Order: sequence, then C-alpha cells, then structure tokens
Amino acid sequence: MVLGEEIVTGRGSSTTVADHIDGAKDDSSTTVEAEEISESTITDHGDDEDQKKLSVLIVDDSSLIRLLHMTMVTRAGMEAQLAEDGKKAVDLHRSRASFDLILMDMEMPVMNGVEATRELRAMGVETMIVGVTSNSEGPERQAFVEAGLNDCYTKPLNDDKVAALVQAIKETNIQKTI
Amino acid sequence: MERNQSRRQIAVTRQSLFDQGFLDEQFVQLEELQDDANPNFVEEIATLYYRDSSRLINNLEQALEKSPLDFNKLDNYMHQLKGSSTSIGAKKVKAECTQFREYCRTGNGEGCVRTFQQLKKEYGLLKRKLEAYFQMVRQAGPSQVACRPK
Repeated sequence: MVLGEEIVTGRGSSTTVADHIDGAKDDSSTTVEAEEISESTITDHGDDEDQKKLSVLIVDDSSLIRLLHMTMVTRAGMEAQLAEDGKKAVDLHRSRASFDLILMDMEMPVMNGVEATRELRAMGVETMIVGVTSNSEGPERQAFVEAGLNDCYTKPLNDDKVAALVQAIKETNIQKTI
Repeated sequence: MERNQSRRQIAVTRQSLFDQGFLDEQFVQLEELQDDANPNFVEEIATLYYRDSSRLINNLEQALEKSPLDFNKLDNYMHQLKGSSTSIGAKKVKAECTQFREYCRTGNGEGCVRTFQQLKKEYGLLKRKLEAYFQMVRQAGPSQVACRPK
C-alpha cells in the first residue's frame, strides 16, 4: 500500500500525510487553508465578517481521525487547525489563538478531552466545543458533556453533522451581532 | 474495451467487500470525500488505519502475554482500535473489537485471547483485500468513480 505523499488542501497550501501522522512538522498543530468557499456557504449579508472562513480546531490523538475530520470541515468551507491532545489545544488558547469551533476527542494522552474542555471553560473560552467520541452512551460521555460541551457526537462525523455545525455557528455569530 | 473491463472488475471487487461484510457504509462516506483535490484520499486513510492499528495490535499482543491480564489496559487499546476500525468502515474487525471489549468487561481472559486471534484474522483478510482493490484502482488510472452499493 502506498503512503500518499501529499494532500492538497487548498490554495497554495499542502500538507503531507506524515504531518497528520506525527501531528505536524515542528509542533503539534498545523494550519490548513480551506478551499474556496462555495457560493452556497456564504451568507447574503455581503459583510466582510460573514465571508471570513470559519475556523475549527480539531483535537484528536488519532492521525486518521484528524485527517478525516479535517477533510470534512475543509470541504464545508472551514479552515482547520490540528492538535493531537488536549494540552496542545489548551496551549493554543493560552497563546491567544481562537476558533469558531473546537472538535474535541474524549480519550487522549497527556490531557484528555474532559480535562481540556474544563480547562478551556475555566479560561473563559466561550467557543462552541463539540465532543466527538467513540462512546455512544454512559457515564463517561455524560461527564464529558458536563465538562462544558455544547454538543457531543459519536465518531466519526459525516457531512450532515458538519453542515449542521456550520449552520449552528453561523446562527450563533449572527445572534452575537444583534 | 479493456478499460471498461477493468472498471467492471473494480466495481465487482468493491461490491464484494460490502456483500461479504468486510466493509460498511462508513467506507462509502470516505469515498464521497475523495475528489480531484484528494484523488487518493481513501487509500491514504486506509494506509493511516493500518499504520495506527498495527501499533495497537502489537500493544494488545504484548498486553495479552502478561499475567495477570490488565483488562483496563486491554480495553483501552481495543477502544482505540475500534474507533479507527469504525472510521474506515471495517465492519468485521469492528465486531471483533466489540466482542473483545465485552470480554474485558467481564474479565474473561480466555475470551479475550480467542477473540483477538479472530480479530487478527479478519484484520489481515481485510488488509489483503483492500491492498488488492487499491492496486486495481491504481492500475485502472484516474477517473475511477466509486459506485454506491445497491
């Protein structure tokens, strides 16, 4: 089986499969430019703010899931950044990064999703945080939600779920401007 | 004519992977993410899957050799393997993962060992079938479009 050498992810920007495996070259996050946003994803406001690409932080220790979810959100017109564990996600926010959406895996080494979500909320991060977990039910999932999630999906995501998330973010952003 | 034949063969091979229960709908979701910008996306995902999962299988193998068995550790590894297998649509492998985790839950070491052997068998089978399938796809060249299973 041939390891794909390059994934073209957008205008003038590319990452290799190895980047996703190792969680990026020098650090654990990789910014990926989204492709042109299709007309259907642009609101009718014509406002610069509305046409800005939505940004999403994908937090997962699985390189496969990072690639899969990154591809989905990029296709939905979002700009993706990756982090391989909860601590990296928290560190990004400590360095003043901000996102429209955080997709948070539950079970990760170093700092899991529950701890990371609690930490982010304690820091005052109000970004929509959506848990993405293999656990479809049970006390662990409940604890995850109670840590401060806006919602929780079972892995893996699909295009419908991503589209619903994009819509939810846009509606939230509209409400904030009112 | 030859190209049409090879494409038909690819379609038949692909369908058999679903009919024989090796793959489920999730694989179709992956195919739908493949486009001109990501022409080898499915194979890249499969490659990542085998890279991640071979590490997990090695960990499981080592953990199963220890005595007494650490069912929490075993379950944790298998949880990760199940997650990856689910994401690629590896139906039979996923089923064995589920069964293994049930044996972990009940502390059934024999069941774990037995299921792990079956899991490795299914995992190996799927890998060989996918390798053969992707080789056919590569040889057929670009513009091979996936067909949804009926």
